[in-house]
Amino acid sequence: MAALTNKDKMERLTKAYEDGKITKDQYLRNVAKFRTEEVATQTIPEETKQGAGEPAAEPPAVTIPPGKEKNVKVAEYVDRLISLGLKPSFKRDMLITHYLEFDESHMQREIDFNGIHTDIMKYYVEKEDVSDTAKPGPSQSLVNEIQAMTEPVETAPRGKIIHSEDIETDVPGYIISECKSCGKETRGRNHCPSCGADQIHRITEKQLVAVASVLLLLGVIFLGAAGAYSETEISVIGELGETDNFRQIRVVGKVADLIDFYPEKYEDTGTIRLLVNDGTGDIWVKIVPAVSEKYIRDSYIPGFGDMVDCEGSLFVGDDGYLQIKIRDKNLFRIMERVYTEITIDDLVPADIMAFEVGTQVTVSGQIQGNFYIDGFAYILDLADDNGKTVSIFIPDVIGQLTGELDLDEIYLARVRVSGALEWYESAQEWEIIPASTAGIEVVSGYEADTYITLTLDQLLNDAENYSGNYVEIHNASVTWIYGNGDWLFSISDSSTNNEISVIVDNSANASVPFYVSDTVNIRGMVIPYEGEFEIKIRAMSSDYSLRLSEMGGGA
Amino acid sequence: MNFYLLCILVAIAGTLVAAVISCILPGLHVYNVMGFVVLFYLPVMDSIEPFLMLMFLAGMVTGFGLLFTISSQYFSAPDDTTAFYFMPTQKYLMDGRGHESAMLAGIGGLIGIFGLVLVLPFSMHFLQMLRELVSPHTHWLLGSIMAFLLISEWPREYGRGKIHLFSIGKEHISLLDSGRIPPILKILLLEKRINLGNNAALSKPRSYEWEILDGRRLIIIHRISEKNAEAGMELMVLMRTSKWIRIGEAYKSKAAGWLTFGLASWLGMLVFFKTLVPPERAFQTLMPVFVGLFSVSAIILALISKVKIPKQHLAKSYDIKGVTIAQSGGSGFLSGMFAAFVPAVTPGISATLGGNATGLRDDKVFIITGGVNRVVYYVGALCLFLLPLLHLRRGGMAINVNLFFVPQTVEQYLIITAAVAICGFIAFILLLFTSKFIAKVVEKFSYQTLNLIVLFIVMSIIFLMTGFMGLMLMLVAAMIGLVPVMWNSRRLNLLAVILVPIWLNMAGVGAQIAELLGLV
Repeated sequence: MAALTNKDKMERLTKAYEDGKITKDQYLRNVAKFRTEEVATQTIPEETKQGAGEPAAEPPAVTIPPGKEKNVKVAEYVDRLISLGLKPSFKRDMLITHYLEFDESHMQREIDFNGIHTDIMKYYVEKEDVSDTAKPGPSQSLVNEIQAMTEPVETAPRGKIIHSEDIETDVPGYIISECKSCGKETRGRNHCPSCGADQIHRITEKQLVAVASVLLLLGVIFLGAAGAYSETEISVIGELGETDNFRQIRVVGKVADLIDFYPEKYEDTGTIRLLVNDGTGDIWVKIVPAVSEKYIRDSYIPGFGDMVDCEGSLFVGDDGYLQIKIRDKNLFRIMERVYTEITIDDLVPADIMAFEVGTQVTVSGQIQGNFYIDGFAYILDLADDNGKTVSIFIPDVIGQLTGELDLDEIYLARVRVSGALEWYESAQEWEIIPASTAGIEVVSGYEADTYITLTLDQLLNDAENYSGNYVEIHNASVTWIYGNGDWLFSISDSSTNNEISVIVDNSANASVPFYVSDTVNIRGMVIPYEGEFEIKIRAMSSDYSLRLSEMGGGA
Repeated sequence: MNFYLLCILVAIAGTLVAAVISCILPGLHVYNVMGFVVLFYLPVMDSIEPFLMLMFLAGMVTGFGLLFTISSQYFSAPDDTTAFYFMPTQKYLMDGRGHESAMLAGIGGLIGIFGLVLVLPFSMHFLQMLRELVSPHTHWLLGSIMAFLLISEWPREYGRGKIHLFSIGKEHISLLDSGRIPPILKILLLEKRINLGNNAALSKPRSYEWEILDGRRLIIIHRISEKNAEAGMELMVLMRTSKWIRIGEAYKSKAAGWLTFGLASWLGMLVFFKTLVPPERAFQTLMPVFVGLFSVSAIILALISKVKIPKQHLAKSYDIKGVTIAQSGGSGFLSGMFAAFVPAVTPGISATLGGNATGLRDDKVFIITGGVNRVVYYVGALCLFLLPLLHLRRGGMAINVNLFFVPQTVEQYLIITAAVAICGFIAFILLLFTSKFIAKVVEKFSYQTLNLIVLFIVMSIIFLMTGFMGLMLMLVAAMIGLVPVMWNSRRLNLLAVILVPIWLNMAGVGAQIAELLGLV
């Protein structure tokens, strides 16, 4: 299609206006535009239009005063534009002053170089080399740019709408341009005269949505990565060091000591602290109050000997101190407790090598005595039918966290105790530490013991049969005492010259001390001891030793 | 249902809630909404997994980060983060480019999300080290920032006190050039109640200006291009006060800035050291203050100014270049991270510092930087809280979340990052459509009525949340918030409300100063 001449365009424009297809304002603006284009086309010298082939005469070097480079360049540019036949709206000096005094946005509104935007000027000033020696006159690239700007826009096909998003027209040969930002008419300029928006360099909605959708992809990638990190690798405690400080770690090991509890001042919670050992070293694990609150409510409390799996950020202190804090209830787990059923008889003679410390066992028997270490722990005596006893050690903290011990309920009751074995160094014996008070399960409550009244002769003649039974001996005489006579003595009666030892439990019902030749009534349990038999007066029972008369003098 | 999928769905629900609140409850700060959500959640936290709640809040804060621009853009209800690019966005709105401005802020938000998702995971060790370095120096850092705010409150009225009186025809140029005042000019001036005295002297200081100096008044006749004048009238008559008056006016803004800083500091000390709202709502004490300082003052200004929102053009492309996005994105990300990292520094302050540091100036840059900054500040605070090795607790978000959740694993951080990325995308798409919808309908409403409704909503929320005292606190804050608006000083000074009390507390003298002020 042949390009339209400006004359053709003018005619069509006029017709469109007369037909009412465009407004008067649009008509006038387009007329003004065509006139400008005509002037520009006609006045650009041929040699300039031909482009880079023509060698330009070398201009004389000019020394520019420091700080005045911009002024010189602007002046040169303005002069060059005027020499090209363009008519600035302002006088030359005013235009230069304007450019140098005002900012760009002001410039866009204030200066109109017959449709050529001041961006060219800005481009010229900023992009051209002003370092050493200025060359007066615009460079070839600038001339090309001016040409591009001043070319008639007649190449636009019939009815083509440039920069228009809402206005429709079928009027050929001229351009109705609407600002892409504010919707006002741009008069075909690269920058909107109303809002200053650039019409060329823009980012579209589609481009933005495309870029934004990368976020979806990233989201999926991160979810995948989360899946890969869903299980933290188990660390070996012995290999942890300062370089691991603040790292999220996971350890699996046995609770190697009694747990500690530091209650909060005003809330029903606190910090639970336990020492965990995985065979390679120890690490302190702190369960923070926010988490322990739920554990306490659910009685999910780790105990001595429990296998635990815990994860948290590591703190490495001085002298190899290691600690992790449990801040999430999902990051601490007590592994399933597996208790081995054993008897007191197995336990009593066992030495330190017989069991591993922390072995979880269940033992049955009767609670036959208790002792409270003020502010620290209860120690219960668990006895079997043969009178052999093992200690059950229940620290106060267990009562605090898992429910207080009900001594009335377990009084002389037959129970099953589940807990972990600990070697009690001082007594050289094993004791049991339950993980919770619920570890003492009452099998049957207290039933009053039935005592068989015997003479000492009857008892000693058939002692093996009476072993484990409760017997009652009347009017016996104290024949020997150990020390003060308050816990071990011997008796005899009129039926025999033989003797039997009587051992008194701590806090048992016994009128002591005894003296040799005192007359007593004895109730107790027959137990074997080192190949012989003795009578045990138990605490928390109906056993007693009653002194009837003081034959041996004394009190 | 897969746990990850559930997490993402819950986060998306949070984003949708943020979108609705941004559009129907303008002026409500994200932290206030969050405070309420947490308040309702705490009693039922045993039944709802805390991590799911965290996901909901993460979605909500991401949504707010991008969508709150709707509220500040179209309903003149900015918060402390949007107040600083409020003026450029309003300029866009008045040019019919409200949607474009909202999208520019949205582009900023996108950059912020990209930055958080792509940069933070690789910065753990660096940030950990940085925290160790910065922590002992926070108090003097804050002091320096305040000094910068006060010093940089520079006279700004000079040369701007011009009033456009009227325009006259270009045929009077010859009279002016010959040194005479055209009679028509005298008549027109008289109509404006300006009587030229006998000593009125005409001069021509510039090639495009004439000046009539009459006592303390300066009347300028400014030659303008045809674009800015009505047909046939090419000379604009402006009036300007004399030098000393102008200098006085210049220092007026500086004085107003310092006054604002002082009043905001006093208000900050008051709310930090006295419980003015009901104790059970004490965690919302700052809400009426912030709403008053930033939202209510802006709404009052909008009501006074009697602005009419012009028809908005729904642009499908936006005037922004890649290089500008990169520059503003970089500046915004750095300043946003600064705000998220250093206590008491909010996006407004960090944006000013960032702007000064990078030397970027432009409305577009300002809006995008603001968008990046606020998203990085809000969402970044959450990400930094969950970032392994760091677990930095800064800002209302982390403090609220920490009431029921303690970050632990890398997995949690990665899920949150995934949720932020996905919700960021959804929020951006929501912003695109919501902004278009609001831009289409906003011109149909009276701006004044709209602002009155917003004011009513904001006041109701404050009253319901903090009671009568909260409302009073909000009104006092609003009065202080009007000072910079009325006297053309920077709103940034209003942030002294948190900056000063926190700084004093960090320096260990907060209680003593409060005692001096009679607050304790």
